[in-house]
Amino acid sequence: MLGREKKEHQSYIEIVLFICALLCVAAVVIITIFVLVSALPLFKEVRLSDFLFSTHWLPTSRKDPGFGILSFIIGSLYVTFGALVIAVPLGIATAIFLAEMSTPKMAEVLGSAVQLLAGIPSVIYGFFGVMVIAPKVRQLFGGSGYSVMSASIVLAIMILPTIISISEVAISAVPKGYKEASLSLGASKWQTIFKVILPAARPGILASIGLGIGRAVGETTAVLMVGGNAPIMPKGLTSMVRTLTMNIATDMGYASGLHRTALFATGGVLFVFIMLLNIFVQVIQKKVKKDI
Amino acid sequence: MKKTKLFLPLLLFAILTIVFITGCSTNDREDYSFGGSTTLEPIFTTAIESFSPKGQDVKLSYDAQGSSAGIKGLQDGIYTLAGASRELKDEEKSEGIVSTPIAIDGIAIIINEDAGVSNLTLEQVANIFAGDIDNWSQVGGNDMEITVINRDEASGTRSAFKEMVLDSVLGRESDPQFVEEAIVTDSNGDMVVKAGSTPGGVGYCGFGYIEEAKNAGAVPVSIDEIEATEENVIDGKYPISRKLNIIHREDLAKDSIEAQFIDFLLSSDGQAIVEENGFIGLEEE
Repeated sequence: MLGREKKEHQSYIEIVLFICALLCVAAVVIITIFVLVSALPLFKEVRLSDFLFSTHWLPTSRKDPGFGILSFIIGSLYVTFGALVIAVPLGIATAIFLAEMSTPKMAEVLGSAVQLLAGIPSVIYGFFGVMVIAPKVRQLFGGSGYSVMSASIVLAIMILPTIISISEVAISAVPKGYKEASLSLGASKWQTIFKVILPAARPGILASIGLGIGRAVGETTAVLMVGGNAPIMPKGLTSMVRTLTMNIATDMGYASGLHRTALFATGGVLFVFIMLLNIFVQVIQKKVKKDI
Repeated sequence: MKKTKLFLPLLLFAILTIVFITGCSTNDREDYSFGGSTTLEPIFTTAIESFSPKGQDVKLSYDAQGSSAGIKGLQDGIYTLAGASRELKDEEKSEGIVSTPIAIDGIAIIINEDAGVSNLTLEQVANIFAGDIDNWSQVGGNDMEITVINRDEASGTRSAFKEMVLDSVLGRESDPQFVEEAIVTDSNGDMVVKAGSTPGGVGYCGFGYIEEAKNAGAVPVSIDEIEATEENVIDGKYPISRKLNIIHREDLAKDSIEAQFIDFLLSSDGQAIVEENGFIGLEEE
């Protein structure tokens, strides 16, 4: 009697949990449909190639309106790449130190500092960028300081926690036997780390970079504050930049008509980009599971 | 052991839920959201503090998002009143909204102190913002590159500036545009900070923000030897000035909170608020 009641109870819980899971999927589906449906009217009047491969962005001009977002796509790629150049070596080095070299106590302190870094709201990063990084960049490299370089530096700090924590897990997960075998064959500690541990942890490290790219591409507030936001093709590291997310955030408040659909289409491009990235990360993670 | 671990989070959750629900329901005051121009923000916030409608306990708020964002919010029903530092466009007028002017404001050209310029002609200003002049030495200042600081397109100050400077000097038919290589800021406050901190920077802001600009390190220049002062705007000498408007629906009921608020702004108390915030009252004109 009691057993049956328990069983019934369980099936109720199962149904509730199933509904919760469905809600998540529904949210993804609804958002996708919403973005696509809102963006589609744009392509009745603007050709897809003019949208993706033109740098002419003048949505409110009376005479010669333009809806080309190429500068913003390049801007997004530019600052993201810049952030990776800084954050990847730094992040992996930190992860190696945390996983392989530090004492447990030190690892705990450093680890929680990294976690704290992940918890700082992006507007604070932006504020720090405006007050500290932009003036320094201006002083050292010229230009206005609101530039690709400032945005990259701010983004690099923001994606460090992602890269460090996931890489560290990947490095720690390398079977102990690999390391011991390598050391017992007479390899030095450095040889072991670079020739054995890092290659074995490579899929996890790549996944961490993928997630870092995701965060960098999607970040809005902080880059909006330090990027300068000029709707131009960035010419160099000290040039001002506007990314896809900045473009949406700047214009969304007042845009109407075709201009509004152009912003949704910009969001669609961002969406596709992040989706491809997620597929990439998932493929890598599947590969990790197979390997282990 | 397990029970005590669960107890605390559950308690916290329960408290938060109760606070959330009661927080929503015990509020029996009526809420009114206004929004729009960042130029008008000081007037609105001071006026909201001193405005008390007859026999009603209401809560007013002002959301400074830019003039166009305010007008759009009014059309979408998010706001019941909007502040705009520009005139309504024809297509906006046709949708049943009207504007009531409540103040006059000049637009000051603010330049970073290091540029060494204290006067510009209106033509030079237009050419600087169109990108045809790109070094301060071309207008009698130090040899220093000009960094133009612009507002976002939601800004009424931007469209008023474009109309009065770019369009009127360079010709509206030629559809002049701001130089693309310009920092874009999203409020008057952001503008004065960036103008003050960027060497060679030049921007523009409402007269109400001149003090803030000076504190940040940017100075207002005179235009055609006319200083950016209220008196010169009132006398009609200073060339860049516009009306600040309240935008509302045509069919506003006479005793509604919105109508009372507009009446308050037009009263002598309201006009005093306008002037204490560094703008020019209507009767001064």
